[in-house]
Amino acid sequence: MTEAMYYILLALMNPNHGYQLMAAIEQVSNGRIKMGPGTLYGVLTRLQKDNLIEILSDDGRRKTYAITEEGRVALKTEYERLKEMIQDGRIIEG
Amino acid sequence: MGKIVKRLMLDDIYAIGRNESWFSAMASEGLHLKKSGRLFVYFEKGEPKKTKYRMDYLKEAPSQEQLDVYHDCGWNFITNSGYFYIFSADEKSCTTELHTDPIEQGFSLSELNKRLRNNLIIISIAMLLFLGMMISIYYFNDEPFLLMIKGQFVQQMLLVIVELYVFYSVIRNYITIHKLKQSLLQGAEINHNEDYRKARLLGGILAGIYMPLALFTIIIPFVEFAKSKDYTLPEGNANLPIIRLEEIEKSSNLMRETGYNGNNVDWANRVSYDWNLLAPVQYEIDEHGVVRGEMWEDKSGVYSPSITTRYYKLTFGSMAENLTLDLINRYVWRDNTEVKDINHPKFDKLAIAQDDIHKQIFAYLDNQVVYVTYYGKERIEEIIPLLAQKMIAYQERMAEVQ
Repeated sequence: MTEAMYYILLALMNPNHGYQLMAAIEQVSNGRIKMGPGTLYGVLTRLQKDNLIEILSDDGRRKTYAITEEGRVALKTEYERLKEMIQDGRIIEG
Repeated sequence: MGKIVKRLMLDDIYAIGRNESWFSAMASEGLHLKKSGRLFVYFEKGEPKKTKYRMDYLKEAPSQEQLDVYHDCGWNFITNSGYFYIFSADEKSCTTELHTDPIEQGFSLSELNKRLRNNLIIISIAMLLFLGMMISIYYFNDEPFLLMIKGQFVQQMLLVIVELYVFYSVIRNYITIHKLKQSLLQGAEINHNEDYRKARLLGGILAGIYMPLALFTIIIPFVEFAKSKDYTLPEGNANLPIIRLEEIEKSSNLMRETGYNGNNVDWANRVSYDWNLLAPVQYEIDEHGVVRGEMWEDKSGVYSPSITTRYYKLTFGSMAENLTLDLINRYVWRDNTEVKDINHPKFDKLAIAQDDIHKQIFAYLDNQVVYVTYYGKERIEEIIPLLAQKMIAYQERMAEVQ
């Protein structure tokens, strides 16, 4: 899972749409990630195709995306993997 | 609105970084991208402005919401060329880069990469079939040189070159996207200021060669058609490289025997002229006569001699020998007919075949090839000197005209 995927899934724990989603990503990453709109929509398209996210509502003007159950499982798995990586890395701090 | 300026799209549309860089360079000269097609790119004349451009590959047309989001980030949609959507932003504005994750961008090109690879496979097969067909047309033909002269050889060869260019473009498309995808997946971002000059120059040179060739390929058949003509052989002197019946036959009772008349041409006494790049002068001329009061030796009917001449003036004299051999191969049908080569000072090659009243002469001199068929009583040995005269005279007349 790429970093962009990870943060979009994370941000979509709360259903959201387009521009606000970018703000939400910036927020959950503590301002570290300013995702470009091209990347955002590229990843949204791909996640949707992989059924990791879904469109909650589409009133023609704006689409609201949300994470799916499958998405949550994938995110959780990735989270566990990252956590283990952090734990394994402890030796660096001595 | 400013004036619209058109420029050839000389580079590969898939060379994203180079095209973006080119658009920026144009904008800084006051030419702002308006529309992009496969062949032409349209710019609107205005004030020079530092502008950055981004090409985004979007499989699905972006929704208004998506365009709004791009816009809120500083990117204005300009135009699209196929699946490539082009956005621009002021160089000075603090916009978020369109793509912030090269690996994700690499993924987005995977589908395109696959499509171009399939294209390449299909066109490779088509190319192989096409080349195979072209080669077999000439390789398996018994008279390839005759086919070249009578057929569309030059046009076919040009077509091969044009096809090769198309093939080259498809290969180039695929390599460009494949390389781009690989480098993105390795985390390298697109160089938005990549030098575009060399690629455009090369593209320009190739297009400069290819387009006239393509045009030429289209025009040739029309020229051939326009130049070709059929008409009835005049009774008097026609300034043609042929022996007339009256020069061969001894009887003063010789009259013309007319045949089927269609399109105002007497097809028993007709001149067909054709033009071809390899043989700019081609004649096929028939003449039929009848001698009242005289019979064929076997008493089968009234004596009616005829002569057919096929004459070719070649662009390349080096083809004369092979064309003559092809003519012999094509027109001497009977296996037991003996073809005799004769050393004759006036010809580079002379061969004759004789089967009772059917007499055939094949000859070439420099770049003139001639084949004469005569049905009649007169002896072939008496016709040969006449033929030599005609060819030399025609050659001299042509030299005078030029």
